[in-house]
Amino acid sequence: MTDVVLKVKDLAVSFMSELGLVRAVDGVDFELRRGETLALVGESGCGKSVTAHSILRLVEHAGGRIERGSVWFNGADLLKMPAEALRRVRGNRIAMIFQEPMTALNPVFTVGEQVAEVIREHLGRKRKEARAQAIDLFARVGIPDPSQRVDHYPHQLSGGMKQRVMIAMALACSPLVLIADEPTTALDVTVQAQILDLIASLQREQGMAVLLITHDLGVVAEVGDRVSVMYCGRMVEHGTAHEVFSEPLHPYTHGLISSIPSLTAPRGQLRAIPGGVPDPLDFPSGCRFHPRCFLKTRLETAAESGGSRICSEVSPSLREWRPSHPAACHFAEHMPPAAKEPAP
Amino acid sequence: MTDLKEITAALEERAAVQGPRRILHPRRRLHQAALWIADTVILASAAATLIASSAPWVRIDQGSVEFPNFRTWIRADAAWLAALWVYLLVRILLGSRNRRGWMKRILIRGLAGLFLLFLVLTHLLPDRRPPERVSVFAEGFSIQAPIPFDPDHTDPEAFRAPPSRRHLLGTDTQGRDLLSRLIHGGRVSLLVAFCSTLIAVSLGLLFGAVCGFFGGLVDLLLMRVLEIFLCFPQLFLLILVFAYLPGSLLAVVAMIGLVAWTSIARLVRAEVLRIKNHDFVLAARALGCPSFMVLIRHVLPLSVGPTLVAASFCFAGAMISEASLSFLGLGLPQGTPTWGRILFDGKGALDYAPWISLFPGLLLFLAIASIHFVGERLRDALDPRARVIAPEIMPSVSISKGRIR
Repeated sequence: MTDVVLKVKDLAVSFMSELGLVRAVDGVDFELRRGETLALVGESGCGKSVTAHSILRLVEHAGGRIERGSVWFNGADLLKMPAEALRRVRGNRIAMIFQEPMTALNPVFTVGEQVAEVIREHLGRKRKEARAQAIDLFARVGIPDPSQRVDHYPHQLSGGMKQRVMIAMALACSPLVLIADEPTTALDVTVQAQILDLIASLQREQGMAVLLITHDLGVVAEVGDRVSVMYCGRMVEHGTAHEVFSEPLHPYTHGLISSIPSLTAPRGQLRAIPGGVPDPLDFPSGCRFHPRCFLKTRLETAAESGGSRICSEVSPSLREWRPSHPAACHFAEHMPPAAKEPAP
Repeated sequence: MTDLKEITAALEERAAVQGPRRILHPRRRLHQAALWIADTVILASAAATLIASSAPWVRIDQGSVEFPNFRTWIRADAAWLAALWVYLLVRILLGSRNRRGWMKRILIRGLAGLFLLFLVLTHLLPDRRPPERVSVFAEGFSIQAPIPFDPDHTDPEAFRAPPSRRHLLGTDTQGRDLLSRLIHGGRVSLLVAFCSTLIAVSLGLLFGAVCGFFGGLVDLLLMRVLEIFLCFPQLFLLILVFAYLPGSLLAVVAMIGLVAWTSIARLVRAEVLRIKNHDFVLAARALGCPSFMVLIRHVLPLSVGPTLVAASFCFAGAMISEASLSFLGLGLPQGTPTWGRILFDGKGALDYAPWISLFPGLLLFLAIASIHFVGERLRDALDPRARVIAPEIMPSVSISKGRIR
C-alpha cells in the first residue's frame, strides 16, 4: 500500500526505574495513511505518549530504551537511522505538538525567534526571511496581529495562543506527519474546539497525516478518522471511528465508551471500569485486561468454563473479527453493542 | 502589622513635605548603598593615575601650558579607563529607571566614543611609566591632582604621620601616603578578582554544562575530578602552591581561578540538570535542533541568572584569597601595593600607628561586604519569586502631589 506514510511495527519501549524494569510499550503496531487522522486513545499511563515519543526517538532523552520494533517512514527505519539523518526528519518531515503549551516554549526567547529558528535550521533561510515567514505562519494559524506577536515572549500570550505558536512551529516546514500529543488537554473547551478545527483545516490544506494522542473520546469522535485503542502498553483494537464507537469489539473499549457521562440519561452514579490500572512493574498474565473484564465474569457466570482460563493464561493477539476491524480479545464475538447494553 | 491606611497617610504627609519620592525597602536601601561603595571603589581604582599622582593636571609656566599628569600615563591607565566606561555602560543599561530616556541614549553614545578613544590610547601610550623628570614643586601656576602623592613617593616630612589635612589617611612607616597606596592597590585587587572570576566562570560553565547535559560516563568521571579539587581547602592549596612558585600576577590569577571553579561547575550542573527536563528542551529536539544548539540556545541561557549571582560571590571570594595571600607575603611580587600587603606592612606598627592597618582592613571589609550585597540584590532581581517585600505591608504606590496613583 503506497498510502501508508508511517508504519509502526512491534514497537517495545522500556524504562529502567528504581523499582525495576518498566515495559511501558510492549509490541505496538499501527499505520498512518496519507491525509488521515488516527486517534490513539487509552487511559493515562497506558503508553500512548511513550509510543508517540518513540517515533522520533525522543524517549531516549528521557531515559527510555527502545527494545525492539521498527518505525518505517519514507522507506527508512527511523529507529535505526543515524542521529544526524534523524535530526533532519524531526521538525521537517515529522513534526510534533506537545501537551502543555505553557512549558513547551522557551521562556527567554520571543516566540517569533523560536519559529524562525526551525525555519533557519531546516530550510536554511536567512534571519530576515525566516522572520517574514514566521509572520506568515502566525497569520495562517490565526494569531491576530502577527507582526506584533512575533516579538512577544511566551508569558505574554494566553494558553490557546501558545498552542497556536506551537502549531506554527510544527507546520513551518510543511511536514508529512504531525504528531499531536494531547494538544488540547491543557486548554479551555472553547479554545479546544478552535485548536482542533485549526489542525483539521491545516490538515486538509496540506494533506498531512495526523497522529492524535488523547484520552478524550469527545475529541476522537470529532476529528478522528480511525481509532487505535491501547491498554497497558499493548494495542487492543483498531478500526474506523464509527465502527469502534458503535460496535466495540474489546471489553476495554466498551468500558471506555460507556463511562462517558451522558447529558440525556437520567442522573445517577457515573459508570466506570472496575478496578484500577495495573502496576506497570507487574502486569497481569495472559490478557492484561482480564482482572477488570466484565465479559470474562459474564462468561463465567454463564458457566462457559474454560473461557475464563484462557483469558488469564494466553495473551490474545489482534485478530480481524470483522473486516479491517481487529481486536485483541478471545471472546470478541460475545461482545454486546456499546450503545444498547451497558456494562455492569 | 500596621494598618495600610496609616502607612498611606504617612506617605502622603511625607510626600507633601518632601515632594514625590521613591520609598525603598530597608533591604533595598542597604543594597543601594553597597552599589554606591562598589561604584566608588571601581571609579577610584580605574582613575587612580588621575586622582592620586604627584604630577599636576595642568601647569602654566612662563606662558607655556603643560599637562604633566597625562605624560605619566601608560597603557594600563588607558585600559583601566576603558574598563571603567564599559562598567558604567553596563550600569546604565541595567538601571531600572528611565530605561528609554534620551539622556541615556546620549550618555551611551558618548561613552562608546570615549571607549574607542581610550582603546586607541592604549596603543599610543608607552608600556612602562617614564622616569620622573619634573619636580613636584615646580614654579608657576598648576592644578594638582586631588591626592598629590605617588603611591611609592616617600614624604620626608611625614613618617607614620596620623591622618591630617595633608595626608588624609596618614602615611605608612616609610612615609608613603596611605590613601594613594590604597587607591592604586585597589587596581590589583579588582584585576585579580575579576580575571580569576572570569577563569572560574568559564571553566565552571564548560564543565558544569557538559556534565549536566550529556551525563553518563563523562559526568561520572568529571565529577570525580571535581571532587578531588574540592578535597583541598582552597586557601591552603594556594599557600602551598605559592610557597614553591615564584609569585606573579598571572600565576595568582590563574591559581585563584583554578581553585574557585568547582563551586560554579556544581551550580551550573545542577541548573542544567533541572532545565534539561523542561518540555521546551524536548520540543526543541522534536523540531530537529542539534544537541549542541539545544545546550547553547535552550539550556544555558536559563542558567545565566544563578551563574551571575554565583560569580559575584566568587568575585568577593577571590578578593579575600588575594588579600590573604598578600598578607602572608605570598603571591604577588614584593612591592606591589595591594590591600593585603598594606595591611601586612602596618601589622608591626599596630601599637603606635594603628591607622596603617585599620584603613586597608576597613576598605577590604567594605568592598567585600558590598560585593556580597550587590550579589544579593542581583539574586533578588533575577528571582521574581524571592520577594522580600510583602505587597500588603509595603504598597507599591507612587505618590505625587499628595495623591496615590
